[in-house]
Amino acid sequence: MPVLQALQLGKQYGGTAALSNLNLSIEKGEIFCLLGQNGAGKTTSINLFLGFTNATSGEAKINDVTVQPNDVATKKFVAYIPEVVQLYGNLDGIENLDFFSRLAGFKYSKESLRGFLSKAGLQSEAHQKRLSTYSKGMRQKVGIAIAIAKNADVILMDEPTSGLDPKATAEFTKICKELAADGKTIFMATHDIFNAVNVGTKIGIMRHGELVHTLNTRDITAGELQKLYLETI
Amino acid sequence: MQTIIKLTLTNAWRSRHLQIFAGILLLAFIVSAINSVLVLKAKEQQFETARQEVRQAWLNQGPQNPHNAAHYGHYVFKPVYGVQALDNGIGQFAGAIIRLEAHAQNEPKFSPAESRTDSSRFGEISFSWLLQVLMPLFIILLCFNAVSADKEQENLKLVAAQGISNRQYISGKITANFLVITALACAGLVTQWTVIKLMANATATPQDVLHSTIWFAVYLVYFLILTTLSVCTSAWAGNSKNSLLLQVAAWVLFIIVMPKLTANIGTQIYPMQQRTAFERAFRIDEEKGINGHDSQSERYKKFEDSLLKKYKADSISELPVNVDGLAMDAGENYGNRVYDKHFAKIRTAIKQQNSISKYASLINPFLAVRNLSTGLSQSDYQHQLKFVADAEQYRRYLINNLNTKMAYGGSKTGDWDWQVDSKYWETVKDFDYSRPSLLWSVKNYWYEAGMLLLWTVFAGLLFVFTAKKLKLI
Repeated sequence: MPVLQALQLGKQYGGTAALSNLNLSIEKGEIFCLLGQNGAGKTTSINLFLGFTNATSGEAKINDVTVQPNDVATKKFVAYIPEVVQLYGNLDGIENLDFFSRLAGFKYSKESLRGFLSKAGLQSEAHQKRLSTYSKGMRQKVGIAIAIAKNADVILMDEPTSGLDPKATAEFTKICKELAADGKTIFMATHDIFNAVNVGTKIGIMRHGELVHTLNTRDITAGELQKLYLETI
Repeated sequence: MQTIIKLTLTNAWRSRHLQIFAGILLLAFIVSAINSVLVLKAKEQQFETARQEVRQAWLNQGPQNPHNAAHYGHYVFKPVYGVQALDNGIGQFAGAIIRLEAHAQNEPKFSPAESRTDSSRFGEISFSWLLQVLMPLFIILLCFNAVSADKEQENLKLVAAQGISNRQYISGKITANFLVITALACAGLVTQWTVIKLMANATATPQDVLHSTIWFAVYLVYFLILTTLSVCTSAWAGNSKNSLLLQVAAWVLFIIVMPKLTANIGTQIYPMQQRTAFERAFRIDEEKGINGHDSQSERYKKFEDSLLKKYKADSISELPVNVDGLAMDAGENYGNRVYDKHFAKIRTAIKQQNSISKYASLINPFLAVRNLSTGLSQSDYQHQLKFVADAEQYRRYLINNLNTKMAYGGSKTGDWDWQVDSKYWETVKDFDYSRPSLLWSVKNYWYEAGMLLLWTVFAGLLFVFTAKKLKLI
């Protein structure tokens, strides 16, 4: 059974189709990278899986449960890392993680919270510093820790590497692979072709709200993918 | 919801600009507490001393002609209540001392604004003003970005993705911010109480405590309404900047401009008679009557004839009573009718003027709270009216008593040197003002109370609607 599924999924905004007839099926342990220009429908796909907006046609399913807006039923299966992980500047790393975990219904000890932050790659000196002093990469790591702590089957990421320095991107890639090895499914929208080939198991290319190509990363190199991407858009 | 509350509280607690504003507010609470207690305490002590002196002077005036005593007059003082330390209402401008004398109804005199030029020039910080005007501004600063900041920083999506419903999220925001406001208001109330306790001893009676409790509850309802409106506006506004601009504009309109506007509209629609016109009309009516000193008027002749008929006598000197006393009593009765007629017009005009702000509380909860607040603290116009009416009733009792003594006490008509003995004065009761009850104080404000309830319901519906329609992207 696929963990993440889109069936003829479509979304219209005032007559223009942001997404049309998306069909997808992603299995457990896969990392699916979605490429495409701004406005191609990547973020819309993620928002539909999160139930932040209602689909105009078709359906999005997680663990075979249809996603409904304003319904928390599918929320426990997904964790989300937005493009901008801002979090709360007046709280420190542990407090932020504790807050978001409690929202999801988890009460962790301070030790466990530290464990999640460390697993996400945040150095322990930073754990008790206010988020307002964090760099983007560090905040991203707290975002990852929030996703890990939620222990969800699926992690949806919206351009998670934008604005990260190469070292931070490399660390991020490593963590994604570990998560996939633990049996998590990752669905990520990205502009980073090189990283997509590096981290993904599958890659999709979108254009004008349609998924044009779907390929396995082991069949393609970064150079070939770049060529295909440029031809597609 | 608890998690949201905890987060919001922590955020507010650690926010520098809120710390500063809360500090200013607390300082203002202390200043207002000291100020209002000083004013009340000064009044209370002066009035109590003066009240006793006036009564002693009355009792110890010795043998005296009753009508001389009536002209010398008597003074009554509007009592001061502890609850007025919370909201001084019209106390700043309303006269609190009335001189009672024969033939005339005097207006209350000696308001603080007359005698203390400093406070009337600079205005006063009162606790009620802080809660009515400044606290809403603090609520806006606290809540204007309650939802919009989470939207702008993408935290709202992350929060929603964690599986919390919009309703839980918004109600958590409202509850947390309301708790902050309540804590601050409580701090203000405790400051007020502490200062009263430290500086004045027996001002808080059980009735004061009862009034204060309900008074404070009204303000908490007001804050809950405002917090809900502010948080919901934050959810609807495109961004925090718009939300702040909109809310500050609403604050200026509803809390600064509209109260003045309703007052102006009131005086335009229901203009009050000019003082000179009032006095002229009054004199015309008054001169048609008798006053007991002028034996030439037509009415006086009729009055004499009726007396002669009643006692079956031929001339005034045969009568067993002092006609001057009876004539003055009749003069009082006539004068009272003239006063009642003319003052009723003025009172009606004031009530009509006040009614504009009363009915405007339908669109402005501030007005509802302001009016209710003065009512509950017994510093409103209605209470002033009651004091004036009670004082006038006592004046009528007093003057009637003196005139009756003059008429039937054994003196002859025309003998203005006749004196009563000094024991007589004790038989005249002192003015004993009975404090109006809670129900009496509230009953003039059912409309405002209803409007506050209506606003609460509206805020509740707005919350439900906002939670349903909140857009995450």
